[in-house]
Order: sequence, then structure tokens, then C-alpha cells
Amino acid sequence: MGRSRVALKFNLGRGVLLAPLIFLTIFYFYPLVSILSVSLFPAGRIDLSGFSEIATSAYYHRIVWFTIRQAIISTVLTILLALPCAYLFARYRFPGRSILLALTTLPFVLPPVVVAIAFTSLIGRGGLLNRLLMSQLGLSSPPLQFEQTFAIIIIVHVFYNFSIALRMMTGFWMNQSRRIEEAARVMGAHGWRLWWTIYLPILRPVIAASGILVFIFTFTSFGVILILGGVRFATIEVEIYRQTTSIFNLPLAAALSLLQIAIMTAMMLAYTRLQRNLPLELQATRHTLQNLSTRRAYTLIILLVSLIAIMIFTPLLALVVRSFMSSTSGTFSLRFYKMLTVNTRSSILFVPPVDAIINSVKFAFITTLLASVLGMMAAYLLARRGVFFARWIDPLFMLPLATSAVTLGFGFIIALDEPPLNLRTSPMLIPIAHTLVALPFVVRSLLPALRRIPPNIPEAARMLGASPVSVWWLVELPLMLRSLVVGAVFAFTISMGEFGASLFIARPETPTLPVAIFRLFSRPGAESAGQALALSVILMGVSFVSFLVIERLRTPGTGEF
Amino acid sequence: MLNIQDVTHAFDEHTVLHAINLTVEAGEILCLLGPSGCGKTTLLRLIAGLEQVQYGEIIFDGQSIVEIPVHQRNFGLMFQDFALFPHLNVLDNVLFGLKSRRIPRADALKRAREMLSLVGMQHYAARDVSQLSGGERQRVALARSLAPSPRLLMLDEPLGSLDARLRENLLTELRQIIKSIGLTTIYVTHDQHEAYAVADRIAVMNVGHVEQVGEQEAIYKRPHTSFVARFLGLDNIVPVENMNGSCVYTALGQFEIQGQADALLLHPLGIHIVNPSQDEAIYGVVTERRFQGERYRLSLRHQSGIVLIFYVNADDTQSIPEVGDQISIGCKPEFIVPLKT
Repeated sequence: MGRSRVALKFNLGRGVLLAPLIFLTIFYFYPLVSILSVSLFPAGRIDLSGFSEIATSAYYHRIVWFTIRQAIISTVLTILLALPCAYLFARYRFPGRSILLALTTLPFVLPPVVVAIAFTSLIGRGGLLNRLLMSQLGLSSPPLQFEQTFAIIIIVHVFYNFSIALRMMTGFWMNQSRRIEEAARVMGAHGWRLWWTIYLPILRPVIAASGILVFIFTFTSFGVILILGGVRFATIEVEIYRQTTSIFNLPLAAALSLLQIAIMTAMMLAYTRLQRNLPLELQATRHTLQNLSTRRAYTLIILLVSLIAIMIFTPLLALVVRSFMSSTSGTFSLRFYKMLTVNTRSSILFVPPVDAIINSVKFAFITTLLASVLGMMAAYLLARRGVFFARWIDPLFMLPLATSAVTLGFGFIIALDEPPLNLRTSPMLIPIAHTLVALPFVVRSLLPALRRIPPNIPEAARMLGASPVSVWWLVELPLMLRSLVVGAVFAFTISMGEFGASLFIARPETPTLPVAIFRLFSRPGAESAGQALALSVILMGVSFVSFLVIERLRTPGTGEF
Repeated sequence: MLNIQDVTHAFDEHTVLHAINLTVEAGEILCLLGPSGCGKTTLLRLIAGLEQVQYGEIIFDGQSIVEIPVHQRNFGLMFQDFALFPHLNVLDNVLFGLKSRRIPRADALKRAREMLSLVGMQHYAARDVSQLSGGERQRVALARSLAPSPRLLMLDEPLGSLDARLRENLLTELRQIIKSIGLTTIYVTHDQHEAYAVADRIAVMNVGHVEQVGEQEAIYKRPHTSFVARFLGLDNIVPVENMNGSCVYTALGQFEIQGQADALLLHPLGIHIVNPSQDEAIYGVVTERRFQGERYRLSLRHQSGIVLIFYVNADDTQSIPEVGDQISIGCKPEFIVPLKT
């Protein structure tokens, strides 16, 4: 008789793969549980006064209502704008089509702080448009009064999310069979009827999915509202920040967080359900694109190109122009950039602004390293077939994406500044928070690449005498390199631009770039505003370079959401 | 050399190998022949170490290898789709195993070039593997498996993904190359003609069992089971209805055999047209007459419904029966093969 060998050995190599789960447990779930306990048990026993205050006070009703209202309006406008654009992109071939489609990703990598300031530079009180109108029409006061209005918030939200909706819809539409539409045309449908009876029903899943995604993003909008909304407007997100930092009402902030987490979780569940019906591989069945034939199509394309150009480029251009303008005369000047090394006496920062750049770059490198290593481990953990809980931990790694940055920052503050884990003064706190935000992107980038490696490739390497480490280093890593670089650049960019969590946890003496921009910008005076402009341009430059790298290396159909 | 003892293997309660016992001699090419899903690839992966042995023992060179990790076994495995490393060129693919074994760079290069010459690919060293044709990939994969001088070479359907003509050419070459090195080899295939051409010995497998082991001629002439006979294309199988000593009764009449049998194979090699008056003659109608070049393939239907296939040389001086002809055939006693089910 032979011997039975069904003993399961615990393998050190496999054990290491659990590191990302441990990381999530300590730095994501533990802070979340802390929020839960502070909101429900503020003084050690159950106390729901935070919730009853939210439920009864008209002030909080207004905030919740505003949060929902602006999210719905932003979402509807975004979809309405993206839909006709997606029609043209999915259908016609025209010069610059692919570049234009790629450029629409740009806003997605731009930090909200930069975008908010860019729009102020364009249509704010002292913005380029007002200056132009005043000088041309001889007005004595700025005619456009957008600052701290509902309108500017909505405009910026549309700017931000237009590209996401456009990309999802275009991809989906290009994968749809055109037979149904042709059948309808043969039967005499055209114009609005065609939209109403054919296009919209076909696109319903992708409209719903992109709509929910845009709703999630705008519902948790923070930086944009904080900078552009002034004191008049506050989303739940902004209110959590105010309750924590100015009023120190932690139980109430925790109650608000919990409310937001509940809404977001419901939304995210709805999104993942819908997303399952969407084809993720975009190269499957592509139609040939039509050439422009009619005059109407030409007009539409020209309109589309101008629209996207105006939407994406004028604010960014205005930002750059304003940063090189001396505030008084309006002539070219490098003054704001030169001032970056100076720690002015009146400055709200304790350090020269250039230090913020150095801090951010340092944090971004640590984040990139952490997120790449943990993301790699997570990808292996998720790709392993036969791990019974793989199906359950897959959404786990996406959770931080659905959790707002402010919730994360707030959770860090109440969970990690007291024993057993006191990291309040640790310089690692910011990179750790950024890693949580970046991890989903890294995992989403690496996982498809890892799954694409045929299993017999690493097996062939093992047969040829390569140890497990060598197999990874010599075979699997080179095959995943592009995706790893894309993920790493994503992590770097996210870290450079992250605002919500950083605002909570950055130490006063080590501000990050976006935090410094916010502090300088919210301070009256042309000098600090000018420094904010210069810093914003630098941050935009970093984001733009990252965007170029990502667009260049990304393989089609992978790693979006 | 290689001794497989009582190896049993299951995936999720589903047993794919049942108590396999098999020996491969040093320098021998053993062919595992069987339909897809018979467990031959699993057996190969167990020997390679890519699957963990659950039950049983595998001995190589007098030593158990089940606890030795894959990369320390120094076995070569050539995959069906070759599994060349897409990020390395031809030479680096072949160098991979040599580098893993820490062979000095100069020696490794020399060895890799030798192996590429052996398979006739010496001029392709700098090529990207994506630029190679199927046959070229196959050669590179072979060179890569041979380069680190494996103690045992395993080939999993190495010609499976190539077209028929290329296969024919590579088949003879493959055996020559392996034999020139004198490697102990296990060759997995579902194609009997491939097995005939390459193997020293053949092990026929079916649903996780080794049905029969032997040299090609022995297996073809005297299959032990109905499965082996059918798998080799021998369909003249007649169920045994009754047995009395060495005398068996079937729908076709009675036959004398040695030992026990569940069915009889009337081997096409032993069937010939006989005079109707002969004692053991089997009568029937010719239902099919197919010209196959050097011979005719004839089907004869007995009144019981049993169909027997046999062959008549095309240069036969007698006339070849036509479809519809009533004829009688006989089978030489040594070609009446007892079969187990």
C-alpha cells in the first residue's frame, strides 16, 4: 500500500500574500469601526444624540438635501452632455478622434484643488473672463459673479465627470450590435424616435452604471465644494470636516460619516451589480467607424471638438496664464514662482511653499512603493484559483474607492492617535492613507495582467529550475511590467493630488502640495493667492505627465473601473 | 529508472487516476496513449511535480521524489502549446534553464547554441518568439527542454498544435534527436500513429487506469481489453454469449481460445476470404468497399447485424468483392483475440 499525502502545508510564501488583508484591516476597517463606535457609543455607552440631532435639525436637513440635490443635478447634466458626444465617438471616424478621446481622461487625474483654482482663474471675480469683459466693455465691476454659487460647483462637477461617462458610454456603444438599429431604420424610425425607442433602451445599463458612478463621485465631493462653495455650501463631506476641525463635535461628525458610508455602500453595491452586465473587454466586437459624410455630421463634430476643448482646456489654460500674470498690471511675470521659496511673514504656512512640493514628492514615492508592493500581493491573492474566499475579498479591495477621503482621514484621526496604535505624529500616516486610496487602482491594473499570463508559462520556468522567487522576478514580473508601471504612476498621481484625507492628517509643519494650495488660496491677499496659482500649475504639470505615461502604456480595455 | 507505484489522484472528489503502476527504463521512450481526459496529462504533471502527489509513491533512480520541489528535480517538460517566454528571444529562452542552474555564462551560451543547432534553429537565436511559426516554436521548445540536460524528458502532446504534414516530418526527427542523446522520455499523445512512430513502449490509458503496456506491435496485435482494441481502431468485436472450457459461443458461431474472455476481437489482419464450404466460414453481405491506395477496406455484415472490417490487398489477383456480394470469410486462430471489458 502506498502512503497518503493529503496534508495541507502552510506555506510562508502564501502567508506573505495576506499582508494586504492585514493592511486593510488595520488601516481601513479599524478606523471605520472607530467611527462606528464614536457615533454610537460616544461616552462608552449607547448614545444616539448625534443621529437625533441630524434627524431633527433643519440645518442638517439642508446639508443632506444640498448634497443629494447637487449630486443629482451634476449627474443628470453630465449624462446629458456625454450622451451625444458618445454617439459621435462611437460612430464616426474623424481627425484627432483617438487623441481627443484620450485627452478626456485628463480631468480624471487632475486634483480637485487644481481644478477648483483653474475655474476660479477663468470665471472667478478676478478671473481672465471677467478681466476681458471689463476691459472690452469698459465695466467697472466684474460682470460674472460665479464665485460661491451653485452654478460653479455644478460646472466643475460636470467638467470632472464628463470624461468618465463619455468613456464608459463610448466603449459600451461600440460593442453593441448595430442590427437592431438598422432594423428600426428599415421600419422607418429616425431622428428623435430612434433615440427614444432604440438608443436609450440599448444604452440603459451603461447610463445607469455611469450615472451611479458620477453620483458617487459628486455626492462625496469635498475639495471642490470647500474651495468654491465658501461658507454658503456644504456637502455632508464638508460638514464632517467642519464639525471635526472647528467645532470638535466628534460624535456628530461620526454620525454624519456613518450616514454617508451607508449611502455609499448601497450605491457601490448597485454599481457592481450593474457593472457585471457591462462588457469590460472593449476590443471584442468593434464596428468599423463611419467616415463623415453629411454636412450635419461635420457640424456636429466641429461642435463636439470645440465643446471638449473649451471644457477641458480653457480653465487649465487660464490657470497657467494667471500664474504668470502680475496681479496689478496684468503683464508677464515670474513673481509668484519666485515667491515659492520664500516663507513670507504673513503666510499661513509655517514653511516656504516649495517645502510642500518636496513633502508631497516624498509621500508620493512612499505611497507608490507601498501601493505597488501591496497591490502586487493582493493581485496574487485574488488571482489564485481555489482560494475559497477570493470571491469575497475581491470587492474588499475596492471598498476604499467607495469610501470618501474625508471619512478615511476622519477615521485615522479618531483611531490612530491613541493606543494601541498611536501614529498621530508618524510621517507614515499620510502615505498610508494615500496607499488606501491608490490600492484599488493598482490592483485593478495588475489583476488583468496577471490573469492574462497562461499558467504554463510560470510552470515552464519552474521545470527549467527557477525557484518561486526567480519565476516571479524573471518571468511574471516582466510580463506584468507595463501594468505595474501604469498602477504605480496612478498611485504616484493620486498621492500627489490627494486632498480630503491629507487635510485631516497632514501636520502643520509638513503640508502636502494640495493642502498648501488650499491654505494659501483661502487666505486673503494677492501674494498667497499667487503662490497658490504657481503651486497649482506645478501640480497640474505632474498630473499631466502622469496622464501621458498612463495613456501611452495602458493596454486597451483594461484597468478602468 | 522511474517507478510509479499505486499513484491515485483526485480533483474535488473526482478521481482522475486509479492506483497507477508504471515503470520507465533508463534511455527508453515510453508513450502514454489515451483519449483526452484519461488522466495522462495529470500523471505527467505529478511526475513533474506540478501537482502534489496525494496518494502513492514516485521513485526516480531509487529515490522518492514526491517531496522534491519542481525546480530541483531537473526534469524537462515540453508543453503542448510550448509555453515559450514571450518576453525573451529564442536564445534567451534556451538559456533560461541553464542560467537557473547557475552554469557559467560562456558554457551556457555554448550549450544553448549547440541545442539550437541540434534542432536546426541556430540561425534564429536573436529572433523574437512571436515571429516564429508553429514548427519553429516546437523546435525552440525542444531545445529549451534539452538544454539543462534533464534527467527525464516529458513531452505533453508536443505535436498537438501543428498541422498534419509538419507533424509527419517532425515526428521522425523528434525520435532521432531524443535517441541521439539517449534521454529517458515520457511522451504523451492521443494519436496512435504518433505513438507508433516515437515510442519504444506504449502504455494505453483510459479513465484513470493503465489498460495495457507493451511494444507497439504487441499492443496492436493482441490488445487486452475492448477499450484498447477500439481505441486502436479495431472494431471487429464480438460479445461472448457463453463459455465452455476453451470453447466460446458467439453470434458468429463458436471459437477456440486460451483463457477467459468477455468478448472476442476478430483482428482484421487475420481475416481473409475463404471458400463457403469451409467449417469456420462466416457468411455475410459486403456493405462497404473503400479503396485506400495499396488496399481495399471491406465491411461485411453478418445476419446477426455484426459488422466485420477487413482488408484485401489492391494487387490481389482475385477480383475484389463488390457491395452487395454474398461472401464468406475466415479468421486465423492466432488473430482471434480474447478481450476483457
